[in-house]
Amino acid sequence: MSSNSGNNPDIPPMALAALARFGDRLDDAQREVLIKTAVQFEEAAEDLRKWELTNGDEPDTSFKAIEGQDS
Amino acid sequence: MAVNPLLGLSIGELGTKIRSGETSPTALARAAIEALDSAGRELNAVATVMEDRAMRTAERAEAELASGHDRGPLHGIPWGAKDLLAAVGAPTTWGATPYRDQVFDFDATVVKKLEQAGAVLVAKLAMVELAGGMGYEELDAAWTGPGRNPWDHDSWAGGSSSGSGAAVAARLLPFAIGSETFGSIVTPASYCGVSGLRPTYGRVSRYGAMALSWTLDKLGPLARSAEDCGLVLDAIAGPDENDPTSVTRTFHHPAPDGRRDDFRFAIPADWKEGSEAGIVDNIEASLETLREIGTVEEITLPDMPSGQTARIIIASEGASAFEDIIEDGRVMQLRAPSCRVKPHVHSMIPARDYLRAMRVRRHVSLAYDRITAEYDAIVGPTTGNVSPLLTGTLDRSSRPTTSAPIGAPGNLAGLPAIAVPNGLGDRGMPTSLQFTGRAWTESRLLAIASEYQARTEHHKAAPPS
Repeated sequence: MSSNSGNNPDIPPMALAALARFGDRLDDAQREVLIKTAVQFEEAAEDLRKWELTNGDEPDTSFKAIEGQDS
Repeated sequence: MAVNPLLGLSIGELGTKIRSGETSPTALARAAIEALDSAGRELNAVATVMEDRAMRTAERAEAELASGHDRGPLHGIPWGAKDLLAAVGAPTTWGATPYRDQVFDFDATVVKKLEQAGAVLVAKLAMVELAGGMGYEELDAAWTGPGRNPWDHDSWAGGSSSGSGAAVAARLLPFAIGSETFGSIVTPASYCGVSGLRPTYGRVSRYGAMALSWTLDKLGPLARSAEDCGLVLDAIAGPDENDPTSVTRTFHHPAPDGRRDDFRFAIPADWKEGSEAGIVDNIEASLETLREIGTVEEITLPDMPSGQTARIIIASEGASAFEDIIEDGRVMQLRAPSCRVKPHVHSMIPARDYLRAMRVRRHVSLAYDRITAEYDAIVGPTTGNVSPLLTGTLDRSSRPTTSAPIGAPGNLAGLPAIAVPNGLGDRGMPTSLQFTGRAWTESRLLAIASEYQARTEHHKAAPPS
């Protein structure tokens, strides 16, 4: 699988990227788990893409500048 | 070795006995050390017993009381910290082999605050490796081995605060601190039959606690009762300059003008879906009790992708928090086979997907703020199942906290929740009732849970000896 995975359209890009970077430390069974995990995350991301967002919808993060001392 | 029955008392009962001279901080610390070293290890609930520090702290607590310096209800009470809290005097292993030798030279803010309140830290308690953030499926995902449940040693204590739940349930400690990113306080509370409080995000400083997901991690108590959870939260809540997400809002327990009845409860219309029969029966009995102190309305929750949103956020933030061990390969030392693989995918989640999840999260938070504003609490089963046997695996498609009606959105929105025992279900294992409220309404949730516990005996049930 490892030698052909780059050509397999059923393997999500996340899995291809992970295999390219970390594949040499994984055996075949682990690669299967990795691909399955990537498919699940692709599906979750796809579910989120169905949720309509507008340009004004900001991410729910709050950033606060550090209140340093005046120089 | 028999466990000292004093350790099964509530914080209030122990305080009375300490002040009457019937017991002492050093006697309690010694009893807890012995209990954790024997029964605690059988349950795989212990990472490190901190004998030296515990006895020193207990001796000081005892001397202070003798000299008339009383620090309040937690003075002289032994407790345990989930092993993701930094504490001088013991390794802080985060439950994971790559960190077995990690030592910090400072105390987490929660540890410091509890010491200032006079409580005696006795042990670091076992936990699922890296608080479960690597997507574990195996129930023995900790270097300490599978967290065993005091009600049945062949069943799971829950995760990720497994040792905190088990040690309190087994009457080895009056209370413990756990953490919750996504179910890690309320699940072990449910499975082990103890009370567990997940505070509002920002209520308790996270400084010195292992970071898994900066925007979701919370610290809170597991204890004998809602009352005890309130006493502990009173000691640990509040702002901390070392944690910019901690807030200045005040919290005092008990609340000065706490309402005791006339509550408005809501229960999601589909709450029975995915719940075992024993859990349905016990929740229906609980609803009858709640009708003595308020009204219960069925509501329909909005159909939002909360579970998927939480999953992407936790995986993305966790992959960043643990980028070092993913990159250098130490992630392959984790105990659970699933945790050796999944983080490689987590680290490849596109920024676009993470940010979309954080944008959807805003919608979830706003929707659930509107819902929780209408009621004093949303109620339902904490978990749809009782503790699974250790021979099983965690089925991610029916994860307990996602099957609970408001687990995922409650965590995404940073809402407080308290889980309290409400009977026994399949295999004689504990079941649990959860109250979730609007942000910053811990006082009301504690008042409600205390009223429920004043009318029931479930929280007093002890595991078979």
